[in-house]
Amino acid sequence: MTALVLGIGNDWRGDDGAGPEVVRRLRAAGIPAREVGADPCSLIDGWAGAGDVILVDAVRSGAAPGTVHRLAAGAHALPAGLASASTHHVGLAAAVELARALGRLPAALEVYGIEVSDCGAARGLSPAVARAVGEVTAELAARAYERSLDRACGELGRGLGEHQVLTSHDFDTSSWAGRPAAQDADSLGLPAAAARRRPER
Amino acid sequence: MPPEPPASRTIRTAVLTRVEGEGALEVRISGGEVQDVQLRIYEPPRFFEAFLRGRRHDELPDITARICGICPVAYQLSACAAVEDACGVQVPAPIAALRRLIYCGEWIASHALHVTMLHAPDFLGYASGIEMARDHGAAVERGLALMRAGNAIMAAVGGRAIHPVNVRIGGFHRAPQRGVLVQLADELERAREDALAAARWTAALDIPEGDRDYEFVALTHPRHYAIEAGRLRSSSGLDLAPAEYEEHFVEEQVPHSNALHSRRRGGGSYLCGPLARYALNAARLSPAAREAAEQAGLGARCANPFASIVVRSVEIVEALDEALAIIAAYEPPERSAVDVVPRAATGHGWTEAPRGLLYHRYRLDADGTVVDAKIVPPTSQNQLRIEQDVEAVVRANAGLDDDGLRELCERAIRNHDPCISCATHFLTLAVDRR
Repeated sequence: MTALVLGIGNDWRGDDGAGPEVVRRLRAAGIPAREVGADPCSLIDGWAGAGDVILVDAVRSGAAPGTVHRLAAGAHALPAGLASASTHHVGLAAAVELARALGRLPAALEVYGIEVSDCGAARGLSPAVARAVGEVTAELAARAYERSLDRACGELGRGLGEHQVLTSHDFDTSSWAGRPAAQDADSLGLPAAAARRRPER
Repeated sequence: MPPEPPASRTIRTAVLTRVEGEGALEVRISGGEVQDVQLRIYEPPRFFEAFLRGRRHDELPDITARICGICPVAYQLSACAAVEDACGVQVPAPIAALRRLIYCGEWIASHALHVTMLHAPDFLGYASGIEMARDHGAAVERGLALMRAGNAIMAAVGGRAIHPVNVRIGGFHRAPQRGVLVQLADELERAREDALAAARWTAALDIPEGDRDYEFVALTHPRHYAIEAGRLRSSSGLDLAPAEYEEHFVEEQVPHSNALHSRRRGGGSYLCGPLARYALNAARLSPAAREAAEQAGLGARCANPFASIVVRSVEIVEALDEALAIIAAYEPPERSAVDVVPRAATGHGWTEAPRGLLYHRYRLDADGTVVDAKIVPPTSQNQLRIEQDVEAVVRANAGLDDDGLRELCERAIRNHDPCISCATHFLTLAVDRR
């Protein structure tokens, strides 16, 4: 199953809109993603019934703007120093820890934190954060694509016997959700070469 | 036997936890006597009253809502009440009922958050709601369900749960369809069972003794447990209309705080909020809420601030009963708002925010431009009284070491669910023992 991507943030507060922008770009490519509030109720309701979950949020840790922090939240607590850059009453880390205490975490939870520069009252991302949004979108799209490829290979492999090695050239991938074909590269913020490289794995 | 604490010491809490906003506490003890208690609201000043000047009268509900993410409806509806008072408008009963409904949602969500995540850990010995959740998962899940129910009401009537967008002077931009509200009823019925269970759970907590001599101040209403409208009454016999508020209450600057201190003009402190509302309005509670109060042993009034967790739970039951009654009777009004034509006048408005009385006053130009604004939030009104509560617990427990005393002081503050963000124009504890 493809991981569900949940984006947190506010488009009206500059770089805090990073999470929602990643969600919009992934949805445009047919990859399951939606916006969610960072409060415990919204998060627990947001990932109810989902398998693996990836949260994308704006963060402020003192790193260079546009730095992407990749954190596995399933096994360990999120670092307390990674303060969510939003104005939510309960920070993302506290909401995740409350869900953990209640046994309401999804099977796997990762957090992509995008280091912000400016969260003033304005629309639009700063250049460094816009680049990071492109990077995160491309990475999550590629991961979604690889998972669907692995699953399809697994299903086909069972059908054809254990010893036959399949590649993506052995079947038609045109109907797959999330397929980052070359014509989708712009909407994904992917370099065309990167988008083409994937199906040739 | 533990060593005697020094006769002179300062106990400081640099950052108060489980309160809304940023504040500190400093207690100075000298020669075994409490010299000074300062609740320091250091959250930066916000200057709302100043930047409302020059804005239009119809912008006030949306701008003042931003003062607080926990009680935006309180700000919206106090602003509406003041503007409508200035313009000589009274909204018809169906619009008043919808206002009451969205306000019930805010009471439920705000109280459920405080009861479950902020206040209960004090009684069960946990540093945070998250730690408490590992051992008391069912109680926390129940609290979250109540927060969801409150948020669902606010979203259905207000468009969204935080900073609702549907409130305007004169009423609402759009009245919700009956079906949308009726769909809520099942969730609210389940929430009502959760609220009754939460009231029993809080009543069984180990609640310290400690009645105080409060002057209670709250709105009262002839038919309802006052929420969105009423006359101000006090346990000392005040009975006021909104325009009379400033004759009897005054705000003062204090050097240690970015929040103003309110007091009775020519007098002392007073207390707003759940204990005051319950003392003055218990007879207006719904039958189920009254029964929950009786089963919890509250009596006709409750002057023990530690028991405010029980009163808040009873108020959640009341708000759910009220919300269900409003929904059962609801028919969309023909017009979702009445016209509010500006005129040069001063208007006064107040409502019962979850933490207590919230007063607004605006002076408008003939074209509706705001000339002058005054906003008195509940935490400003309670700040002096909270300091006195802290002083009382320090005096009664002077033999405790600094850590023990600091914990009790923080509890004395959290009893009143202060909203520092609202009051700033707020908490970290320092005890100075000399």
